[in-house]
Parts: sequence; C-alpha cells; structure tokens
Amino acid sequence: MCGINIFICGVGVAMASGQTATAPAEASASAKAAHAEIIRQLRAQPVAGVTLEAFCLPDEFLGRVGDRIVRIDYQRRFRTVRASVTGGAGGALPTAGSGQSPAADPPGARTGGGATTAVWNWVVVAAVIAAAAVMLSRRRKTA
Amino acid sequence: MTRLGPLALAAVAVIVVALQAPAQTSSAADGKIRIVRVELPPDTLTAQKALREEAPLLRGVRLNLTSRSVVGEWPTLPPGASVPPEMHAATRHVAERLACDGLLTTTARVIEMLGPPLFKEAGEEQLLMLRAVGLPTDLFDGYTPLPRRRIAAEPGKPLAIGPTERGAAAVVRIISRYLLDGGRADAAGTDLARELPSALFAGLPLTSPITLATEDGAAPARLVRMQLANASYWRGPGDGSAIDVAAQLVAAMPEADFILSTSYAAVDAVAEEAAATWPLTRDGQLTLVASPWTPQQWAQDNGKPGFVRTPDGRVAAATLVPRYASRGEERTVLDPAESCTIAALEAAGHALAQTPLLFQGGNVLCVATPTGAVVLVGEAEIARNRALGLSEEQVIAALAELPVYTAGGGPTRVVVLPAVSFHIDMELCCRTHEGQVVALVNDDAAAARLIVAAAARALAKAGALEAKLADDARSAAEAGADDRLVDLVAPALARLAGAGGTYPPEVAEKLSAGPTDSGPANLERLLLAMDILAARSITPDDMPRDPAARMYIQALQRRAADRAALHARLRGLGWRVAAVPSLSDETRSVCNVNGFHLPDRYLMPAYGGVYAEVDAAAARAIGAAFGGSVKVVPILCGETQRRLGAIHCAASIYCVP
Repeated sequence: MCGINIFICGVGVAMASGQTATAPAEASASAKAAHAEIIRQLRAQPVAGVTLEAFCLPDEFLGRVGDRIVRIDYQRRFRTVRASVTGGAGGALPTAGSGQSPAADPPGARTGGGATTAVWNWVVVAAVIAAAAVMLSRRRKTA
Repeated sequence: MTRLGPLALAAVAVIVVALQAPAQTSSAADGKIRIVRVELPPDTLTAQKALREEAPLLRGVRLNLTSRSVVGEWPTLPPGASVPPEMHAATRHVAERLACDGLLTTTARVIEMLGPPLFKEAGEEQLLMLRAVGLPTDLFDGYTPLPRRRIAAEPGKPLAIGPTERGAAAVVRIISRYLLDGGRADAAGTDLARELPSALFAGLPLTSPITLATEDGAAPARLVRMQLANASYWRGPGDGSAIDVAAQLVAAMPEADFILSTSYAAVDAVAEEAAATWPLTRDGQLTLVASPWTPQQWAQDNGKPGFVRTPDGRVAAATLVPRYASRGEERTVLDPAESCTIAALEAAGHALAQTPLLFQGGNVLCVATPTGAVVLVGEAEIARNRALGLSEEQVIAALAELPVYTAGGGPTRVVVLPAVSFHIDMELCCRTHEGQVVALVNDDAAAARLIVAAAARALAKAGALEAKLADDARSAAEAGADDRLVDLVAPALARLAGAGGTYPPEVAEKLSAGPTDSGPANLERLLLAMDILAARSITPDDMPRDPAARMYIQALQRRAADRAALHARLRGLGWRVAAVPSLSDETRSVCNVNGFHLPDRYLMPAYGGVYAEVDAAAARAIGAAFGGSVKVVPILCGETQRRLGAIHCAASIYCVP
C-alpha cells in the first residue's frame, strides 16, 4: 500500500449538497457534471504556493486522475475489509485497510442495490478532491 | 537479522567510500557481496537533509544526481526577505505562469520585471538570478545553437544579435534585446518562437553520454538495480515483499550482477539475509550501496537503465537520472531520499548521466522496432515537463533526442499514452517476436472472472458458500457470462457482510491460502472483480441510485474505454496486442504484465495464493502469444502489488547488448 491517507482537509465548497437518487437521464447529466466538478476542484487544489490551475493540465488527463481518486476513495470507504493486522516489520502499511465503513452498494450491484447510508454529494466530491493533494503526493511512498 | 553474522561476514567485502577519498578502492577481500558505504561530509548531509519533500516552490529546481553531494548548484528555496520586492514578484510570476505561458514568454516577463538592461549582456550571474526566481535556465540550452539569422522584434526591425551566439545566456540576451527594442513580454513567446521555434528546439543536453537500453527482451540482463528499505519480510518468505522479490530475482537471473541500495541502518541485515538465503554464486555478484537515506522499493522510478562505453572500450551499465527523483502524478513532488539514493550509486562506480527533464522511470518504456526505437511515455511525464515551461512538442522532441539502442539504428519515435494506470508499466510490456512488437496488455475482465471463480471456490471450500454456487460461478466465468456470474455471487457475497455492510476479518481469512497470503487483500480484490464485471454491463438506465456508487461505476467504465483506446493506439503502431488475464488497480492489482522480457524468458509478476489461477492463466496466455518460444518465470510479488507496484516497478534491469 502506498500510504494513501485520505482525510478531509476542509476546502470551502460553494456547491449545493443533498444529491439524491434521480431518474436515469438526470443521473447521466449529473454524473457528467460531477466529473467536470472533480476536474474543477482538482484545478483549485493548492500546490507549491499556487493552485493546480497554474500547471495548465489537460482536462482529459485530470479526468483520469480524478477517476482514480473516485475509485480509490470509493474502495476505501465502501470496499474495505476489516483486517487483523498481522504483518511484520516490512516497513509498510497493512494491506487491507484497518478501518471500516458501510457499503453503499454491494459489490456488483446494479440498479438501486444496497443500503445508501453514505451521503455522497457535491460536498463530498469536493472534499475527496481536496484530500487528493495528500493522497496523490504520496503515491508510491510506502514500500 | 540485527547483526551481521559470521557466515555472512565471510562472504562480504567492505568498501568505505568517503568524499575525501573518492578514489579509495578499499582493502576489500574477495566475496560474493560487496558493501559500499557512502559517507558524506556533515555539511553535505546537512544540506541534503534540508531538502523538502514537496512540490518545489521554485519550479525550476534541479539537483545534481550525478554527484553524491546532490545539492549546491541550484537554489532550492525562494528568495529570502532581504532581496528586492521585484525578485519576489518574479518568483510568484514564474510559479503562476511558467506552465501556461511557456519558458520564453515567462522569462521575458521576468526580465521585464527585473529590468531588461540588466540582462542585455547576460552571463552566468544573470542566469543565477533567473534560477533564483524559479526559471529552469538549463532548458535554454534546448534552443541552441541559435539560428544563423537575425532575430526580429518586429517585422523589419532586426535585433542586434550575432549569428554565432550560443548557450543559455545568449537566449537571455536575445530576450533582453527584444524587450529593449520595444518587444512586448506577453508576445515574446510568439515573436521569439518565430525565430527560435520549437522546430529548433534541438533536444536537451545530457551531463554525459549514455545510451538507453530497451526493455523488449533483445539483449541479456547484465545488471539488476533494486532498493530495499529494510531486510524484513512482511509476512514471511514467499510473501512477495521487497526482499522476497529481490531473492527471487537473484535466483531467476544467475547471469546478472545486482546492485542494491539501502540505508546504513539496514545494510548489515540485508547482507546477512542475502548471504544466508540468496543463491549467489560469483564473487562481487551483489553490491550493496549503503547511504544515510532510506530508499523506497521503487528502483524503476528514479532512473532508466542504459549503458556507456568506458575509456578502454568496454560496455558498462549506466543509469539515466532525471532532473530530480519525484513522486506524484498531476503534481510532482521532489523526493529527497530517492534523489540522494540514486546519486549515491556514483560512489559504487556506477555511471550516471542526467537529463534536465523530469521523469518517473515506470512511466517510460523503450522498445526497439525494426524501423527504430519507440519511447512509450505516460501523459503524466509530458505534464511534468510542461510545468517547466516546455511545450508538449518540445518535451516530445527532447525525449526523441535521447539515444536509445537498437540493433538496426533508425530514428526514435515518442508515443504518448493515456494514464490508464498510474504508470504505463502497469498496463503493458513489449517484446519483439518474429519481426513484430508484441505488447502484453491487461485484460481485466478475464482476470476478474478468474478471481471471482477462484474466490467462490475458496469460500465454498471454507463452508462460506454452497459448493454448487461455486461450480456454477466457475461455469459462468468460463463462458464469459459476466451478468450471470455477478448475479450468482453478489447476493451470496452480500450475505457474508456484517452489520452495515462491513466484511469482518473471519470472512476474509477464508480467502487466504496460507500465512503469506492476505485474506483481507484477497477479499478486496474479489469485491473489485465483481465491480469490474458489473460495470461492463451497466447502462446509463440501470446505474445504481447511490451517487457515490454511480460515480464509481462510471469511473470504472471510463477506465475501460481509456484502456481500449490505449490498445488501439498500440495496434496503430503496427504492433500486435496480446491480452493477458491481468488487473491493474492501484493497490488492488493482480497484475501480470508488469514484468521483464529477457532473451529466452519472461519474468512475470505473480500474485499467488488463492489467485494463483490468474497467474497460471496469464502464463498460458503469454506463452501462447509467443508461440511457446518464451519461458514464463513467475516471480511472487503479492505484497509488492498491495503497495502499488509489481516487479518492474521494484527493479531496473540493464539489458545491455
């Protein structure tokens, strides 16, 4: 594990919260908007005294970075296994997260599956991206 | 393993190298293991320790990675309070505009801010001033030699520069005179590019000659470079952790020498472990380089393998090192430990050549083709260097200028690939077979089916699932019936979850094949495999209602589309794409393509344990891709894969003709 430590580092977010279940067409539009918002939030991340905006990164690239964040974050929060940490002094973090969280949808779930105990909304999207500053800078840190 | 035992000592030769005695060859006795202990003067070490592990505040910072001193030639921190305010303003401007405006325009603006007359006759002093505000002045070398014509600030208004001016300072002088002649800083990039166009960007000079080795199995492995933070297994021998991988690679490549970087604190334990358990057969086969720094496992990333010709005509392994060793994807974090670790190799007599470019080695793959070399590069490396003020075309031109060995010669072509995985070496590896390049690529759906089937069987064996369900799952997996496979297993898997959907440890342990196989990690891979298969068939109309799950599924779908585009790009090169059951997903990978091609064999990363079946299927697919002419050698690396890499990430192999 690369030492990914996601924490919410509190970025002011002006987006409305409370995203809930929607019709498919709306959901699709909402997803595109969310993806665009992830890119926008990434660009707003502070880096080296400026923001990532100053690095003029292409949307396509940032979209892939953003998707990686979404996947890692979702897996960490909803696809994590409680592990008894039995590893040795390998100098690395335990493989499976030692934390726990409820599953938003069971693995492989399709329409409407699973408990939706998580409130995953625009605010969370923004917060996840805010956490990326730490997460991504630590890529491949621990080995 | 806390102290060097007598057995190990008998096989160990110790060389102490100090800066004060750089030529010391030591009083070493012959031995299979040579230890080079890199000692640094206190002031050098203090300066190195002052390096910050962060995205540099001075964008243009460069470390000298060809010398173990590393620091001293470039400022690493912004100007202090005592400098004039315009220096601070210029530093800020560089940070804000260099990537977007480019090197020429940003430099023009900085010169305008600091006073163009000061730079009219610019020399080393003025270059240092520009470095101090964060400009990567060494990149001006890419614009030289200057064109043998006059530079016009405006049509019909020539600039007074001579036809023979060369060097970085000359570019600064040109910009200064452009401004003094009435040129506008914000138009400098456009105006000057007409006369110093990217077409004249003739590549960037290396500190010394080197030829990059290709990684396509054409040449034998002469040297393997690795890094170890310590000598400990995570779970035990066979767990695929860093030291376990090192031991396996020594066994798999008896023909190669090994050079392994570690820390003062760990070197004795590493030497003892190696002497006791690694199949070393030759004197000097293993060199341990100990420094004050504790390296990470990822030796691939702080350099690319190559070779040089020595004065006596021999070919010797050498490493191309970047501007500084870094981590991160869309943001580049200077990594002091990785930088100082690679630089310390100089003390062991290993040749290093440095490029002004930034790169992470796992995101660069050199391949020989019948018509010349191809350098595959991940898009993050383009972005990393655009942050230095280069255009994409200039980065590509500079990469294309890197000498890459091919038997038949020919030009080097640079191919940029999307960041489907964090690094491209988690997506593919290449081998030339019967005159054609064959790219082994991830088939994550095939891997996911095998994972689900294997996990269902293991859970059934442990009594957690019905045997019939496991049998049905296997049938569905073999038939490629993803919908049916997911529908079969998902409800059963959900029932295994505890309150709130959390999977308890006792469920995970049913997915462990033994003490070195992580049940929790295996269960996480099962959950991922289910999601990958589900995402293949979910349409916009039947997306999960939960916004988080919906975005997750869509991210999986976009990755699948990007991966397909990557494969199409490779086919477009005239290459054959061979799909291998293999899955790259950050720390949840079961990746079989992050391996090494050698002339007669492929060293394949293997996950092992419950998912050994995926490895076996991958080995069959790889064998078939090369008509059975390549032996597939699995290298267990489960714990390494749980840390965001596999064997290609953990080693750098020098295949030297």
